[in-house]
Order: sequence, then C-alpha cells, then structure tokens
Amino acid sequence: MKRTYLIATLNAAILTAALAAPVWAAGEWSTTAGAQAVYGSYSGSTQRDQVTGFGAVLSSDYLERGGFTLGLNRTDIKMNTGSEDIGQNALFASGKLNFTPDGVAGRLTGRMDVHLINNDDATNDTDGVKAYAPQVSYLSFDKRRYFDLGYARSNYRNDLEVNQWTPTVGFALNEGADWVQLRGWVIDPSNAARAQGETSTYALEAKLTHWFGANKPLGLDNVRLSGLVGERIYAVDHDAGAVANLSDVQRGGVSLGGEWKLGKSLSMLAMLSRDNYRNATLADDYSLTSGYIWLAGKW
Amino acid sequence: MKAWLAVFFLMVAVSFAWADESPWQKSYRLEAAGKYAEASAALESINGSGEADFALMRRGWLSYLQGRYNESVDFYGRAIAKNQKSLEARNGVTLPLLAQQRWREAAFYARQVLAESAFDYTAHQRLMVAEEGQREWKTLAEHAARVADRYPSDATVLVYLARAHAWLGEITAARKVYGQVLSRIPGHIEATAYLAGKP
Repeated sequence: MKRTYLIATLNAAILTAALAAPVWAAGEWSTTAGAQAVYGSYSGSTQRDQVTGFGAVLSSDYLERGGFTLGLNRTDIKMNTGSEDIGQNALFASGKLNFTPDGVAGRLTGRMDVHLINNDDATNDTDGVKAYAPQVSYLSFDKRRYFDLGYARSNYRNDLEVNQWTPTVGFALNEGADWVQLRGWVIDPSNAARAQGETSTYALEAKLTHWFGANKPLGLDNVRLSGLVGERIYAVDHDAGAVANLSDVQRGGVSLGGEWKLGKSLSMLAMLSRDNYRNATLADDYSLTSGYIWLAGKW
Repeated sequence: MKAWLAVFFLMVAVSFAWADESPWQKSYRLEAAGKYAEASAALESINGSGEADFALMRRGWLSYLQGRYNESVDFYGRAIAKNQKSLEARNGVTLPLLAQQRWREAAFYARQVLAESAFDYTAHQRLMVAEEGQREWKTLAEHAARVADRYPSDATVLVYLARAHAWLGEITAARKVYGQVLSRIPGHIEATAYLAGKP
C-alpha cells in the first residue's frame, strides 16, 4: 500500500566521499541500483480508473558509516471521463549516518529524506509538494530489536502543511526467521478544508517478513505480509521513500509479496496490494488493487 | 621490628624499581594487573617518539580490552596514519570494528592486509568473521575452504567452513567438516552438537 503512488523511480546518483575515511579504495562503497514498476486498477471510484508508474533507485553505502539514496519517480493516474488525468514526477533524496556509541548495544542511525514533487494537477493542490522527513533509528547488535521515530513536514500549495509522526518498533521471532514491524501513523494536516475534513488521522501498520533459510519454496528467499488499519492522508513513507500526495483518505489495506535472490547480487521483489480509500468530498468509497515489481542489483 | 624493617626496605626497593620503569614496562605491568586505562595512560609520553605507531597500537588494544571501541578504532587509525605500511595495525583495528558489527569496514582492513600478505592467518580469520556477520555463506564457504587447504590442522577455519555448509543447506558437507573438527579437537562443543542433530 505504501507504494500506491510511489510507482517508479529513476535515480542519477552523485555520491561523494563526504564521510571521513583513512584510505580511499574500491570496495568501500556498496551500491544497489534497481528498477521498479507498478500497475493498479481502481474499483468503485467515480473519478479514478488506473495508475501506472516506473522508475529506478540508486543507493550507496560507505562501509557501515552512512549512505545516500537518490531517485526520480514517474506516476500517471488515468481518470474517468469528466476528470483530468494526472502525470507526476517525484524526486527523492536521502542521506544517513550510522553511529555505534560505546555503551549502546546496537547501531544508531540518523537519516534525512527530502521529497520534491511536481505534477500537472490543474488545481495546484497536489503540485509543488516539498517534504522533509528526518528519522532516528536503533537496531540492536543481535538484530532482534528495532526502534525508530520518524517525523515529516510536508508543504503543499494553497494553504496546507502536514505534520507526521511515525513511531516504529520491530522485533525478531523464531531465531530470526521472522521479523515483525509495527508502525503508528499520526498525521496532522494544518487545514481540514484541504484534507477532506481531517484534522488528524491515525493508523497502525503491521508487517511480517519470513525468511525461508536453506529450503526455499519456489526459490523464494522471503515472503512479506502487511496490513494497515485506521486512516491516513498525505502520508510520507520512510520505507518506500514516497509521499502519498495524490491519495484520498486511505482506510486500510493489505499486501503480500515475495522476494527472490537471483544469484549473488540480483534480487526481485513482487507484491500484490489491495487498499481502500474514501473521497470524503464526494462521499466516494473505492479500492485500488495493484501489482508492484522491483528488480535490483548490488555490487 | 625486623619484619617491619624488611617490609619497609622492600617497599623502598619496589618504589625505586618502579621509578626506573620505562613507560613500556609500566604499561605491561599495569595491563597484567588488569588496569587497562592506566596501562594506556602510561604510554601517553611516547606519542612523539619513533615508536609512536607501536604505542598507538598498544593503546588501541588496551582501549579494546576496556570496551571503548570507538577510542580503539581511533588509536589504530592513528597508528595506520603514522605507519601506512603497518599490517599489524590493520589487523588490530578489525577487533573493535568486529565488536561493533561494522563487518564491511573490518573486511576492508583485512583485505588490505591480504593484498600485501596473501595468507596472513589473522587477517583471514577476521575476514571470515566479517563474512559470517554479513551472512555471505557462499563467499565464506569458498574462502574457508581455501584457508583450510593452507592451514590443514586448524580447527577454527574448519568450523567456519562447516557453518557455511550448514547455512547453505549442504548437510552432508557440513557433517563431514564437523567430523574433521572433532579429529582436531575431540569434544568440540559445536561440532559434537551438530553431529548429534542439535546444531
């Protein structure tokens, strides 16, 4: 569901050696480049017909000290007769620094995301969006406990700012074969008239990832199931690197995905999602069924 | 009275002996007594001398023993800066890095050692720990097999090889290698447990 409007990314990376290093040499950087695509069909919507997108992401880490991610997404929403289609480009840039202070049994990460979004929305309501999303996270050395606190401030045209808090906990089960992540979504639009009457929305998202180990059914490395209850609008997703600026109010959803490791450095992720939405202005409840695919190489 | 005099003279003698101690002697004595911070502080005066890189390595080691891993990394880094040819300092810095689970950074320094000295045992061992930490089982299996050919009596390398086989689901190979571990260390806990079906 988080990828409803992420759709695709194309990244040109300018990765500089901003982090201090005693010696510069090949092998210090670990880089992942990936392409993604999504297709979704709306059901029961008076306005929306389908959504498509494509793009790529380039991400690079310098040893375990930090890293950068850059991307550019293209999203197209085909509307039903009577409404204008929307085409959108979204630039995503993210930087992070890792810290391992003595006395803390794990790694702390400080991260900052920036989103710049432009589209041809005739109302300008969803065009020219800028979002700034810092996050502080902790992962224990045994990789059994995780915590993060994310914040996002999104600036929209026509008198709307959105503040968002996303406290998150994660923990491993079954000797690390399963990972559970729970994230709260608290989103406060500054102008209810620009947020379909919402002054605050609350949602809880749960994700379960299971790794298969040596015995891989259908060659799967892992499967992922996620669900969201509650409501959210104008969400900024740290995991997906996406802003749901085009969404109506999301009212729950589920997704199921699987990842394959294709050799030593290639991987493919495929997901199916179904999300429910409500356009309060039109009293229009509808759903989106979408398929998402991500192909990545690492070197 | 005689006993007190003897103790007095002994104390005087010891204090004179300590007063004549070199910073190195003092550092080793304090380390042996488990006083790692003091052992490190004893070497502060050596910073400007020709043995500064050795002093920095020792201080890196002593910081590591105290669990002050960031400080340890800093000392080893300064030792490398002082003597860029030092393989020991590069092997040394892998210790605090591995303790902090900075696998890739530890592997980076271990590979620098191996580029100069292809079968440096310590560097290979640290690199295997880093590969295990990153769950690079195929890489670890290939690597451990190569090292085991060079160090055939070494059980530690075989344990890494056996673990890699086990994680890859290569049960027969894992059992065979764990068996070889038991030939070298009869009663090895991990090998015994695996072969008994309780890995």
